[in-house]
Amino acid sequence: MLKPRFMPTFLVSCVLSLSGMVFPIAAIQAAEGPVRRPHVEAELVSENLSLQPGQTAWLGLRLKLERGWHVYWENPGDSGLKPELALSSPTTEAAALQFPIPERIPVPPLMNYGYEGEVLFPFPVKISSSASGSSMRFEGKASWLVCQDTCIPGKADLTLVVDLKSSAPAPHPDWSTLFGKTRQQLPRPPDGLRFSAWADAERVRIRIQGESDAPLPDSNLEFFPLTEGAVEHPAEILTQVTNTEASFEFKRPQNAPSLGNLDGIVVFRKLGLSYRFRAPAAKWSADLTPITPSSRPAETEPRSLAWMLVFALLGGLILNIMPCVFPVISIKILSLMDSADRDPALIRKHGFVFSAGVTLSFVVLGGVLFLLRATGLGLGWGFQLQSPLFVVLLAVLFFLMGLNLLGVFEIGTRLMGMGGESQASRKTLSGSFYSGVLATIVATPCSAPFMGAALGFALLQPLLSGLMIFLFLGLGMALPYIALTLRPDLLRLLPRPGRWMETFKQFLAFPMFATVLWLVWVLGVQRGVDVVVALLGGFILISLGFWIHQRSRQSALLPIVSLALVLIGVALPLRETGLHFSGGEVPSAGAGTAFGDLTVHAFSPTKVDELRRQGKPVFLYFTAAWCVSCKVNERVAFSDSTVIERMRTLGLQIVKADWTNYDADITRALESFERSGVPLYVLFSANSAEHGRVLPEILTPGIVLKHLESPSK
Amino acid sequence: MKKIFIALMIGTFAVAPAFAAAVVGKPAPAFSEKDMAGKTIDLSQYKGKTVVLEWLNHGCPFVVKHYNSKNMQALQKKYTDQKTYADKAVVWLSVISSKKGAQGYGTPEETMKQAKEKGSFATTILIDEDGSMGKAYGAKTTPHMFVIDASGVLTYAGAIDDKATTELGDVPTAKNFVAAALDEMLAGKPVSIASSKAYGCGVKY
Repeated sequence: MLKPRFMPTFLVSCVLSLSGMVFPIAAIQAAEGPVRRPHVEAELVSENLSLQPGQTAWLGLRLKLERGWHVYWENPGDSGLKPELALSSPTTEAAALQFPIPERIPVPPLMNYGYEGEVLFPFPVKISSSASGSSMRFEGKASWLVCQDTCIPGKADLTLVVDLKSSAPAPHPDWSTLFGKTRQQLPRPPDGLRFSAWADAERVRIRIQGESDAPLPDSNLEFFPLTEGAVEHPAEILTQVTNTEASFEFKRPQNAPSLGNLDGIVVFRKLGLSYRFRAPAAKWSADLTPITPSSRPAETEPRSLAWMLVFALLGGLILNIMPCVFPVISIKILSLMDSADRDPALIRKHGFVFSAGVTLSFVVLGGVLFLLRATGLGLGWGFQLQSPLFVVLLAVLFFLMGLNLLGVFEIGTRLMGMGGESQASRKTLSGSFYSGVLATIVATPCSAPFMGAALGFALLQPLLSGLMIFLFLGLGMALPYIALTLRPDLLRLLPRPGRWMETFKQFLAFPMFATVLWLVWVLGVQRGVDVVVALLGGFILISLGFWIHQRSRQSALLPIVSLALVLIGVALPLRETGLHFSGGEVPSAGAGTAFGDLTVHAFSPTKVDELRRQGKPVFLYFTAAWCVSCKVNERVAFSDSTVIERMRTLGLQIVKADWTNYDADITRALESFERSGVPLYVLFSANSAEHGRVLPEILTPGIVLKHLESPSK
Repeated sequence: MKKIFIALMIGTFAVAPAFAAAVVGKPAPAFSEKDMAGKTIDLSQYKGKTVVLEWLNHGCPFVVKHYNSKNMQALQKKYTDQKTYADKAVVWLSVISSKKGAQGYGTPEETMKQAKEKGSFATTILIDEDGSMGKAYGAKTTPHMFVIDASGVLTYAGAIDDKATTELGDVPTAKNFVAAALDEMLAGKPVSIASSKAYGCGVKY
């Protein structure tokens, strides 16, 4: 195991002789402190407040860059230049700037290595033991190339005066942390690591192994080449990492000279350490096992399953207050309150069964989703609503629940396990189970915050861990209910049970009908007005059927009539929609008033690329008619006149990916952002080198404006 | 868009659109581009001539170094001079591969005007707005230099000299690879330094 220990060996290479070169503070040279240049603030800084004769001190060139601009590493990659510092006092040598771990900065089709934000280039200075005076003055000219799309060379005369004291120095309050952090990253000698390289004119392979097959300290490795002409920087890097070794394979650039030694650094990203190495490049050997391109994104932090389970739990919890689930949960809690004074053991049993209903339904739903995906259908969360068949059934279900809540008929109470009547609820445990199932079914159109990330992750996992995430979603959703049944005294925090509960229950019928209205609209968007009329006709038949049923206790014939009416009522819209899974040919529009009169481009796999090529900023949004959060965002955030005006002045190109109906291209696009459902909002700046930025799932005009103001990451 | 997605997926390990090969010792990639006068320039029309390609962007500080120091104009003037070299005079083509709207891009009229202002002695300037020629040659930076011999074979690819800086003062002390290659070719000798790492600003594709 490699220990992150600092090696002072490379200090030796950089010793400045400073004897007798001490200047009084009153010298007339350039002022101290940071110097502003276009897009860069440059400053000469010291790690400590004072210098001690005979000791090695660390100074550094600090560059603070404007957002979106970068400076370069030792090897700048395809273009660019590393920063330099030429000292003029107390020595005239160039400072041996050391380079912390760089980032890969793609500027398609090129690749650069460098830094964004604030970066410190430290260098050690040996203070002569004969140095005298009260302070030392350092002067030098820093030069750099700062680039965004365009490059600007910068220069600044920098001055630093540090006290000279014989006592041990105290750390500089502003800079010592930055020095510590940066020095930690500087390349170390490769102790304990073995490097091998092979190359021909086409490719070069580098292998890193721990000593005597010791495990590598960190599986998140990167390689940065120092040898010029060794690798084609922007080309894909084939990577293979096991416990004990890592291999990288690069393309060689065209016209590359044959490779003698390969110099570079290997970075352990998670540990934040780097090792410098030199490996003589051996002839390419046919024995080298080929590396297959990995499908896993090599650079993104591998997200742990544990974190995603936490996200799933949170997402499930939040689902409870989403508009589609809230009524169902409210009713369940009402029934609980009603029986609050009764047998706590029975209540716990109900709580358990309800939670089991919720979690099991989530797992089944997840299983079905995996199964359908295995058949090659590009599906994601909320996929059920892409099927008009499912929408019809859901609308009928919500309609019946509404009628039931209003007290039009009683049978449904038990049948659907609404638990509104405490009598029924206590008797039938199965009722609790089905209300759990029901809660899950009605939850499917909603996507709560945190869920997107968890679900997107789930679908890319092996079956078992994927199902685990679904399980945790269910647990999260059942959590408040479990808590209430385990601690019934919590119920006392709610208003006392009474007649208001019946009133409240009836009131809840109206959110149900509102949901029906929305589902009817979804169906209309998917299949047009005929299906809507069939569905509404179905509603009439169904309510007629239940109404007759209420009055049919004494007759033998009437129940049959009522059943027939209900069945016809359901069959009518189904006949119109057809029993196909996919949505159909009618492309859904339904943009509403979102984005005002701004042009909204329809999504195609090449559209965003095309617009960015023209140097335009792009806002890509994924939506669906059945996605409530999407619609709320469109009403609240994207219909706001300030937002629309801001988008207009930015020349933002809006691209809409409508996932109301099944669309494999859009599903793939979602997956590329590691999502499996809508909403998803991605903002691309005009700089085509930058990646898109994903906005939160719940938006307000304020959030959108904030993101629009700072389009780079 | 798919390309962006792929790029996002594999993060910064992005696959850049593959550069076609312009390999030293092999025939140079053919091209046919409009120049600043609106004429179509085809590599094949210069069969029998030595051709120099110079990737150009006057907004790039590395290019500025070579134009403000008059280094580039001097090279252009010297090697394209018919009086000195007669039929061995080279054809010097500056190429702008900046996409429309990006730094360095200019309409034919603007490019013509700028060439006059800068005192360019290039034979002409090609406007490779779609970057096709730049990508065919694998031109990465401005200035990226290529030399093609009379038989159409690429003899040099890389930097203009060995000082990768933006300092005007570095020009006189730098070893100019292009001049060295042209001198050797004129003397009928093989080019000793046939490739180097091009430096400069990225081409604004």
